[in-house]
Amino acid sequence: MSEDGAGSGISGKTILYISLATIVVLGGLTYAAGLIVGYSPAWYQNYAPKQPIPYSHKLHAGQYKIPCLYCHASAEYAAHSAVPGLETCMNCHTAVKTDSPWIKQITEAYNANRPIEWVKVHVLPDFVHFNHKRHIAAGVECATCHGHVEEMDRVYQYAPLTMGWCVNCHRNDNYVQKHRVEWSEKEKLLKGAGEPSIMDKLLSHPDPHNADVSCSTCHY
Amino acid sequence: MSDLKQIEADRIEMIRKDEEKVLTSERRKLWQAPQQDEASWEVIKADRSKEFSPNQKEDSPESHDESLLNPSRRRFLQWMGATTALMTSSACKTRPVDTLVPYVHKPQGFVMGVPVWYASTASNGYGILVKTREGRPIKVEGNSDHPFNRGGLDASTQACLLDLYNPERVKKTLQNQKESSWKETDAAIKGALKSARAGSVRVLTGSIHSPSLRAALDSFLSVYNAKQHITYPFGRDVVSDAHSLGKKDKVSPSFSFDKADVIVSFDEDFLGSHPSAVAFTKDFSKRRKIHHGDTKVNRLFVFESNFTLTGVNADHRYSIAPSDQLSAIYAIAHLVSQKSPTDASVKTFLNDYSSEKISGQIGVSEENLKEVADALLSAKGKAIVLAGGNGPDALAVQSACILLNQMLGSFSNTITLSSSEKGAASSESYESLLKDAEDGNVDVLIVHGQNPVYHQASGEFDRALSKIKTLIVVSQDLNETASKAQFVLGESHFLESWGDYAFKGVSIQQPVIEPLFETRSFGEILLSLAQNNAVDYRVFVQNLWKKNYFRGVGSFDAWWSEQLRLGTTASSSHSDQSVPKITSLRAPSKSKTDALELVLYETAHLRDGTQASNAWLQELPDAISKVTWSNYVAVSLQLARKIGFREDLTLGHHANDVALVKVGDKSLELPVHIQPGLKANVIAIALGYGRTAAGSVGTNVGKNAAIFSRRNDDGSVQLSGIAASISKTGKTYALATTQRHFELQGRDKDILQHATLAEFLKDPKVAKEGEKEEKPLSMYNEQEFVYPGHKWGMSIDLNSCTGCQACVVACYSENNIAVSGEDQIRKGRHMAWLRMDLYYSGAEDNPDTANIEPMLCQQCTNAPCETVCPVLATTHSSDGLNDMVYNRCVGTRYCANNCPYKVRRFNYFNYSESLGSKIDMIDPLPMSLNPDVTVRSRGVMEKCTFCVQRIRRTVDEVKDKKEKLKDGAIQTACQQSCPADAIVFGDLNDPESQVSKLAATAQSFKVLEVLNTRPSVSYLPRIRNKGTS
Repeated sequence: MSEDGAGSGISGKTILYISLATIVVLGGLTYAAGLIVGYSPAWYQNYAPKQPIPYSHKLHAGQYKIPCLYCHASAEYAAHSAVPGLETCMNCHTAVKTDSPWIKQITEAYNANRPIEWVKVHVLPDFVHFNHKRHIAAGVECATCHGHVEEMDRVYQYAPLTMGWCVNCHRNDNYVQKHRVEWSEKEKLLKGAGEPSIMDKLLSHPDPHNADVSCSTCHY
Repeated sequence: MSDLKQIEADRIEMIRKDEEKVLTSERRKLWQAPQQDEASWEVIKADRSKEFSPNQKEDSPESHDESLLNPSRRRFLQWMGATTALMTSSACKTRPVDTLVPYVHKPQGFVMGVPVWYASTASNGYGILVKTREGRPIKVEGNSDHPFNRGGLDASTQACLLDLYNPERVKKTLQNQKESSWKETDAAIKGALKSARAGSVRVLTGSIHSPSLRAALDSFLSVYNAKQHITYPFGRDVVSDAHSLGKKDKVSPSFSFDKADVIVSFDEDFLGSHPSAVAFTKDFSKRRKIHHGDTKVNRLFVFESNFTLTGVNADHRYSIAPSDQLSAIYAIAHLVSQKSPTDASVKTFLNDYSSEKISGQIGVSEENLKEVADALLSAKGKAIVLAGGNGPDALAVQSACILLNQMLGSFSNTITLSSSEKGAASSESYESLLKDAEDGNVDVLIVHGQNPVYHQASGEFDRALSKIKTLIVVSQDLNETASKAQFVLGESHFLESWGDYAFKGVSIQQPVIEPLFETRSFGEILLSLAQNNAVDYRVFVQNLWKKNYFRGVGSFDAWWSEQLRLGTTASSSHSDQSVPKITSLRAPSKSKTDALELVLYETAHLRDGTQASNAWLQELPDAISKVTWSNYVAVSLQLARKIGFREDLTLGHHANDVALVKVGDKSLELPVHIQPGLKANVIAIALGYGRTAAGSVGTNVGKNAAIFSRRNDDGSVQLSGIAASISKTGKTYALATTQRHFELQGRDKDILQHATLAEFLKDPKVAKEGEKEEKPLSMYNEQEFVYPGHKWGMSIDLNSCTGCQACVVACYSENNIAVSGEDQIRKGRHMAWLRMDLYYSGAEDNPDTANIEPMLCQQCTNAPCETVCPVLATTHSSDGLNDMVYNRCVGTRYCANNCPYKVRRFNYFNYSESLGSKIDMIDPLPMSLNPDVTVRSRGVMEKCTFCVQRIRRTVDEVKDKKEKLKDGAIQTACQQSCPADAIVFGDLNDPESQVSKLAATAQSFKVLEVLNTRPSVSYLPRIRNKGTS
């Protein structure tokens, strides 16, 4: 470009380059925006995919009050909360409702040693390391993040599961402590006042039990 | 007020000048390569100024020599714009639907996401612990309870995961190189065995240390009336040959370096390429712990022709020519014999080797030779003399060593003889196999664990092969020998099969995964051929153990489970207290000539080349030269000057002249590398390269120097002291070396501290020259970070570290580090998070010392990288880590630019999608990845984070138990694998932790302390024991 700024100084080539640069910038931004939206867990709030077997949490956890950890046992011992194997289903369904067409499908798969491929509802990206065990040990209820699954016929993603949503809890130092009072009440209701309360023990613990929000707490 | 300002300004000026002085005005003490002077720095500066020059011709589109593959910057932008525009339309996509596939029957005790560890034994006898996730092995670590390696592991065993998951393994059986089923192959082989003449079935193996395999082989040998022959790649058996002279069983010396005060090594690389290097390093480094308060450190003298890791660790290193090896030992023996009782005949013989006569010939001064002898004499019963190198007088050299050790009373003190190789005595030699085959007496030959077509490259085996009717090769991959075989039987990896190993204790080898392909272990193959019914090899091993090792207390099953859990059991090797005999002493075989002497050596990582298809090991820089993905001919600076060889190691200008090396009628063209510390008449070439059948990764990497090896009259293989000639070819080749990826730029003062023992004992702070009492003024807000809980830190003991690089490969395995490949390394894009820097000091042609320093992210408190990241992708954690958030990184690379330690690595392309662009990450390769660590993609910066995944997991486990974290509970991958225990990791906030104590010692230093980055990694200086006076 010439110093005097005359319009004749701008060649066709320059215009081409400027337009290409614009495409690069705009294209890049749109692409990134598309990915951010398309892959963000927030986009999937209320996502309720159809499952190969219409297993109803409302029936099992709501009506029959099967505890969450009966099936999702590993949540208590590991970072992962795994989906139970078919053998867990068969604990009851060798006897219960064996004539249902869905149960027949499960029995068939079980006998053929063929796993059922459930559709994943809650998906965290690979670069996030969330630990179920720590949250359960701290007394966080399943429903805090997963909603009232016992009322869901088909499970959907209840919380946005975004980083901001995680961090909001962890920044609020009193969050866990505050809820523990509430959970302790619940615990007493369930167990009866005479029983020693786990939550009371945790309440008296001096450690805030709230992991800090350093990046490497979850990202590594 | 203005006065105060003036005073402050003066103070700042003073400190600035002070730092400038430290940074620039000191004389150069450390250097990375010869002829590395200001000129090369000028080249870099010129390059940099070119980039932004307005007059730069190359950058104008008109003059640029353009093609589709080599576009100008502008054309590139045009294409990028167009493609990005296209990509925009495809961006509106959503996450793919993912499924969860649970077990039908969950294995008992299995919890998803919780690793399960198994104890086992590697094929080289090292006790290992294998970490498995969801049933697949993802990390191999040393078993600290195992008596052989005691927790340490070497680079090649660490890398065995890539061998296991190699997609190019032999997946079944091959008949005439066509895939076939086991049933058909078994039948065909049985037919061939039955039709063979009596005594014409032969089995060629390496040393067999497994009692169960021995039993299986014996049963096979008796069924088919067959004979076993033993061979060694490049012939390494001279040591045991010399020691077993006149004995019934084959014995080999086992050295107790932890008991030795003085060690003299003649060309024996016992800390590097020796098969027992891990065990030796463990013992040797125990006596280097001066920073842990032990001032009675050992003293290592090394006489060597090539520059090896042992030479790096020597307190005194003398370079000699291979033909002078024997004279050098005799000269020392002569000096020792004068002050110790010796046979008269020996004394008269040694009189010809007085130090006056020899010192001129071998180029080591009389005083130096006397110093060695005096040190040995002062440590009688606590000395070790050892030799290797397979030179022209290999057996005589060993005898001379035995003589010296006898004079010094080493036997049954520091050296014991043990017969470890059971059944070896009844086997026959490789030479007798060659002879029988040439006579037409071999019908069927079964080869296991050996690759004679490659290793015995002088062509004898090929000649013998033409007379053998059926060649059967049991192998994991289709190597050179297997590709000539009628039958190739796919062998299971040691992580997939049952077995055992007897060496310094007996331990079980248990499978940690079902065979990935339809393969069988060698024992299984032998048993199924010997017996007609199918055998379960596990039951076979179990029965053998019940018979031989079970002591009959309690139930066998419970005992067996306990052995499996421990992975080790009591020692069974019988040590031999007798002293070996000496053959008659004889003079060196040839007189000195003017010809160059060629040294063929094994490197510490690739060794005999069996693991050449392992990309981690090919990518691992050579311990000394830092060259990757190739071998080369190492020459001295004098020889290079004489012939006119040139080598440019400056980043972006890599160029090595290619030389033609000739031995007799054989020749090789190899790039030249100038190696400081070689004699002018010595050239050296690494073995283990130039495989012609080692899969996509290892084929045609370097040249096979084994063609130069010679068979001596006594049957041993000569690898060094071979007369050779070298000449220029006019060609150049760019060796991908990492030695000068990062320039010292005059900062050597503050990088690596070293001192002699005498200096150190006088003042431990002696190494910390230039240290200022006054704390420098800081630009950082020093109160910004508080560490309420832990503050992780590391201490690295440079005096223990031998530079074996086991930690580097451990880091690759633990942290899913990508292999970038030769071409990218030439551009400075080596991805290792932990590297070994090597600095010489002293004269360029004969350096006093070579110092190795592990360099990893220093986790600075005042981190220069953090302040420049525009997107906060690298931040400070509350426990003192310098976090790297891959998903946040946009790849500006400002952080790497601002890092004074140059430990940040940028993923320019999707390195994680292939192994060095040689083979894609196809199944089952991705199974080797650690699921706890993100696999980084293109455009992302990455670096060491002190194995944060291990920190998080251990802290999590400790929280479960409601306990306080114990010091040492968290081990980083590098620390765990270190055979020298040189790395200590822990909490700096805990004053009682080992790392705090080491960091608080007077001699502990931080690298580039002058920059006030306040690293969490502290180093302990290298101390050389040149005698205490």
